[in-house]
Amino acid sequence: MNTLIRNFSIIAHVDHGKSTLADRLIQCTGIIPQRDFREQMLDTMDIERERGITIKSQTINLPYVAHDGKTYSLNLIDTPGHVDFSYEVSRALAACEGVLLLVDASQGVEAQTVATLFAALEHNLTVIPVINKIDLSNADIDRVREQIEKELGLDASQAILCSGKEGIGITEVLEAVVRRIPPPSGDARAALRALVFDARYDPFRGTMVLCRVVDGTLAPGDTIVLMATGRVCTVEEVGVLRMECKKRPCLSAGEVGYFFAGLKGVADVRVGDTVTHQCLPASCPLPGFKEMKPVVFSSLYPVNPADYDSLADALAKYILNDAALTYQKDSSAALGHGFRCGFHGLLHMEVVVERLEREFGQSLIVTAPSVRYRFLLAHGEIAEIDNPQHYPDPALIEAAEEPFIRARVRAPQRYLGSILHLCRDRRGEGFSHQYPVHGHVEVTVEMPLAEVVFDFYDRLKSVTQGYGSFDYELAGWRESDLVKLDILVNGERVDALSSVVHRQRAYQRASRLCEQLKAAIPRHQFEIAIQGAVGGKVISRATIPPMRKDVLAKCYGGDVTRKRKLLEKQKEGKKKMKAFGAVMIPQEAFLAVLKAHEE
Amino acid sequence: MPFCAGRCPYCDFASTTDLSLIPAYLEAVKREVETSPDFGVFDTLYFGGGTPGILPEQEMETLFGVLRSRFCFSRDAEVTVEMNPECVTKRRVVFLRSLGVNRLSIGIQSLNDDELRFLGRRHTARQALEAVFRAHDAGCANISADLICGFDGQTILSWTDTLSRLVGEPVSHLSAYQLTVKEGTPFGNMRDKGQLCLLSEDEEAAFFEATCGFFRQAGWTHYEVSNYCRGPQYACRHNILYWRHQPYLGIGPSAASFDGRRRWRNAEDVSDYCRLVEEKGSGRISEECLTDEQLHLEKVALALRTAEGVAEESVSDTARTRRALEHLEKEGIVSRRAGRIVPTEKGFLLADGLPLLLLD
Repeated sequence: MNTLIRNFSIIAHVDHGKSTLADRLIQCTGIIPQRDFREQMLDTMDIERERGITIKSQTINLPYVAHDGKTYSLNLIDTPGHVDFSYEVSRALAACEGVLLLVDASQGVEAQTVATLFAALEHNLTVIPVINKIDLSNADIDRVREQIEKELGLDASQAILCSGKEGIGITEVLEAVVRRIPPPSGDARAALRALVFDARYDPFRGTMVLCRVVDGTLAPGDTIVLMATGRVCTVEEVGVLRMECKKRPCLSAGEVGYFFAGLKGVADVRVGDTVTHQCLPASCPLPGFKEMKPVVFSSLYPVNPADYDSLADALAKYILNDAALTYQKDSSAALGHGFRCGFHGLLHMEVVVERLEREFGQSLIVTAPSVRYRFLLAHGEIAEIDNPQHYPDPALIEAAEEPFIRARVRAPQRYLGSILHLCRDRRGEGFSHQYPVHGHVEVTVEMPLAEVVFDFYDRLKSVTQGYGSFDYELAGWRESDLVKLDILVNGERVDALSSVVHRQRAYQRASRLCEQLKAAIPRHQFEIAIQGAVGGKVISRATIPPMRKDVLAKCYGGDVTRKRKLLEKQKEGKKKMKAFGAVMIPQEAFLAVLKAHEE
Repeated sequence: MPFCAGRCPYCDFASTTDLSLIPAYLEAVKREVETSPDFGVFDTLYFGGGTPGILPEQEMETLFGVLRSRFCFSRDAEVTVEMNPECVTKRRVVFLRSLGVNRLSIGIQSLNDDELRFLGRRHTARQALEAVFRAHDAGCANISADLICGFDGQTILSWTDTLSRLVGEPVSHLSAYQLTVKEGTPFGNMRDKGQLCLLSEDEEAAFFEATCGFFRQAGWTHYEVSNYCRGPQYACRHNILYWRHQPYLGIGPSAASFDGRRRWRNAEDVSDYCRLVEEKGSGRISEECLTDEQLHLEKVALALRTAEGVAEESVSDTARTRRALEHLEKEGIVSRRAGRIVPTEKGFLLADGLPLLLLD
């Protein structure tokens, strides 16, 4: 019955207690025995728990007996909170009718909340403001109410006061979900349309697809079509998620759940796709499907070249759960065979690398991230490259172009100066600004994508004390003065550290890279010279002095075991390094290049 | 031999000053010797410690009796006893010689009284030199001395002064150790409280280089990182055996053994050791069987601490190791002679990092 279903999501700034509130809602409905309960229940990845962020949307179905005596089926769809994952957020929101907008009673409204709220409003969702952490001594509920009214334009008198930590106001939250969020409006008898908003890989059963049935009914035995990919398959099982799969006879309009249909590869399942029946297909898919285009590119190599096949296998499985990643084979003189990967942003890249290492046991070297550049060559040829290794012969380059974006940056008015400064520093041009809401400014600026993908978001957060938010769209190619920066270690070019940079940036980038590498490469028995070079001309240099003394005074009969164990440990460490000539470069040094952009 | 008259603040050996444990210790050693595995003919015998020199004559004689009744020694075996200057008397040396001891290793540490006080030694520089004379007078032709360098308060000048006074005396072998401050020792505790100033890497290197330079000029042989001798015939055969990765059998508390494949080690504490031997006939608390790879790693690492170096075919032959070797040679860290890779003085100073550069 549609009227007993509520689909909602929680949106909040990092640290405003989203995971804790989700925990309490789960606890309150009693679907998980107390003894199995742990913190951040929905953040199942170690990396999420450690960083305190949500990367993958999680979904959980909660049966709730409301005060009106009826049992409601609540679907909580958790969303990630970073701009790199904005597509995931938008798909998760598309599966909901309402959101809980969580605001920290002591911190107040923050920029990220505003950005996600705009997204929720775009989907015409009911927004329920929830003021969390009211138990804190510095909670200032009146001020937060005022902010909710003024900065978000919501009715603060309807805000629910709660404390996820202390379990205060949890029932009120659940009651509000039941009473204020409308039930889904689809028609169970219409042609099937289900929105795919996530997928994950199950080693035994293939791909588990998470979907929101908008119209119609999905049941085992149905022959379905995934409309964007055209893939046809037969549904094997459907059900809802209560931290584990609970089988159901069918999923009807308005319900959120999973299905298995013998799908094995990610190529078949795209987040945002629409599922329909083969025999009675919907006339058009649900809106909003986007082919995700990666913007940051980097190569991943196994530390041990023999692990190439294992990495290939890991990527094939990984990608099922993260359709945003693209990859193809790559190779480097220094690092052997690997994969050139495309990511949505730097955080996305870090998350991919970390998950491959943790969940799939890979040991990786990651090359400097790059965007895609375009070169107009002699004879009228055009070369698009996203890999510095394929940089064309400079003699043939007639013109170079780099992708520009049109960015909209929003923040309280007082940060206008810092934002303009930051954007100008990132080669921004064509500035304009307006004041959409009282006290808030929206800056529109065109900037090279390369200047944005690295750490622009982090810098923006920093200069606006967390209030800044931004989104962007690609604005085409612009002519640019590009050069290839090479890094030489004791005279040997480390191809994996090469990058394409704007000429203005080359010197600064080179000296920063050299210094970063100097800090990341341990001293050797001999001096190491690290040089940055453009077109064979050295433009910066850092020197790692040699070790002077590295020997224990005594090594007799009783000392051999300890000595050997130390060597074995160092040998393990050596496996995480790459040899360039006689120089051993640790994995971290390759990651250091990511930080070379930071001020 | 775990007994000492007093504890030196830098020492982390499992020694004890409770001499009342000597009878129990001797009993346990006797038992351990009886149950020891067969190691064939021994070429060296080394009494280390502790201060084996403080064991009374009667007990020393018993100990030798126990060993000779169970083990077989070659006719020209090197038999060394470690002593501190204060227990080197003519009578004691004559007695030890009668038991077959032909080499003494005396813990002199320094010939500077301030430094000796700092090191918590219970003798003066004068007493140390006199001990050398007495040992020599008593007919000991092979005298070694242990020395410590590289600590706050010592200068390179005072250090080379110690060295030059010693090489003028009838000493045939010197072990010159850089002070190593170990966790749990009085020096270690002082360091943790900031009361002991440690040398920088550059200063330590300077002491090492001064030592090498001194002995080079004196015409001595530098045959291991910290060991020098008047001529190759005076190199310590016992220690060379460790470094050539040959088998050895250790008896007594905290003694370590190696049979060419397995390594084992006895309990450190004297009472624990005695109890274990009584219960099981052996004092072992740990034992491991090494893989071929582990054996090879040890062999190369030990060899690269000695002037013999390592055979070229013992190191890996990959693109990386070839480049590393080339580099090390160019930088004067190793030299190649007669199919062997030999550390230079600079190489000795960097010896800990060499094995992994040359093995893949």
